[in-house]
Amino acid sequence: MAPIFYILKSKRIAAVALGTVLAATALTGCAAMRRTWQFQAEATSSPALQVKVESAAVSQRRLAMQLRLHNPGAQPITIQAENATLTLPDGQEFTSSVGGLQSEFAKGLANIGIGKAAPPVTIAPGESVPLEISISQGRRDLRRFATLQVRLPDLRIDGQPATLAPLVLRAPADAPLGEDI
Amino acid sequence: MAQHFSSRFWPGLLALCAWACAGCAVNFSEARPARILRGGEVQLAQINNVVVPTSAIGDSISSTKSLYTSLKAQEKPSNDQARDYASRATAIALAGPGYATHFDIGVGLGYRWDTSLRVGNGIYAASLRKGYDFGPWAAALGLRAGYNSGQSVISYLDDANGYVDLVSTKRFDGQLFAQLGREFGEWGRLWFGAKGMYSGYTLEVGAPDLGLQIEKVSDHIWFWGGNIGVAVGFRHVFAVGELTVLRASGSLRAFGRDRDLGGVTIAPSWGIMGQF
Repeated sequence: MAPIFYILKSKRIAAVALGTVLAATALTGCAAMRRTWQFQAEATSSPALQVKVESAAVSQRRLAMQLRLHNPGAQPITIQAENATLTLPDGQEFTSSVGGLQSEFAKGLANIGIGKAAPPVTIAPGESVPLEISISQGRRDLRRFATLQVRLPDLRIDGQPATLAPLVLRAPADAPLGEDI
Repeated sequence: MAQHFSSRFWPGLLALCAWACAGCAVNFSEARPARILRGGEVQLAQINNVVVPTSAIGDSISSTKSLYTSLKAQEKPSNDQARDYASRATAIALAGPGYATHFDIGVGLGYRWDTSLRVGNGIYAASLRKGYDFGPWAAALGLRAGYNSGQSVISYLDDANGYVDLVSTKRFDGQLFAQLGREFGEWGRLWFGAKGMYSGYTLEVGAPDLGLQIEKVSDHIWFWGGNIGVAVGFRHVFAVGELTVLRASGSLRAFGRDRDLGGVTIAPSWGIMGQF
């Protein structure tokens, strides 16, 4: 056993350095270890509203989207959307407040009479506004799915329920797929 | 001599135990959930470990009391008593109570593999795990190699015992372990584990004040047992608690005396863990 000790002691620093280099290489070079992937999506629209995905960053537990809502009509419109849902190809669904945890917290406070929930957003004719969606969960690895669907189930335009086709997020071609990864 | 012995004996013995057992304390615990880290996922943890070898404590207290009583009545311990005491102190240093803290960084490698590096109290350890999913339950099989440099982070403990000097410690731990556990939403984790560990050591130990020269002692101890652990928190940050119970088997020959290192070891651990 003694020779093993001496080998380990003399090589300890080298081993730590080698391990660090390997870890750094793996972190930066291996697709399976890439923490965040940018998914792509086509725009979707209703007669009164166009929705474009500017960014969809998908990490293991979180989807963070930057949307741009555009009013193509000749009249101003007001938009209300409190919740967003994320649906996996196998049907599992996760729900979050539009705007993420901060919005959820504000809504919770408003429900007990502290502060106010976010007011409706008004979009002038031909103008657009940004909208952030953040959905977190701890059960599935979101990076490993070829497609993800995002909906705004309680979207209201000028106070009326509006139906909008789901946004279909597609993984980049070089992203490793399958939850065994 | 006897009075001098009594004033330094107990604190010295305790310091010796804490000094030498820091290493095994670090390598007893797992202190992380069974689910393998996903590719690129990083886990950081600071874990505190206590080792309570029940049989060693009882045996060492009774034997050292006996030795202390006989020493009080004499001006100087006989060579036989000195050897008895020094060999017991050496055995306790290897399989006695202790406390240690360590930092652990784990990285998911993808394809249900993850690795971790552990540093604490002069210990350097690396592990590799392979994971398997069974519905809501996750299982992991892993191995860990640990090296004890023999250097304490609490330097004053190194020289605390004036009667039995551990001149050098070299200890290598190799272990296989299995875990089974599940997650509860984003707030809880529960796991059970089984572990077997081979701990080979080489000590240079002497007791010059007792007239005993430095000896080189080389042997090994086996440990096997299991653990149960929980982590409670939310999303990224969790408080971790784990209880490990191991059976030790081994012996030591030092200063011409044979000592049994066997017995049941209880090792509670606690700390904080972040997953990012």
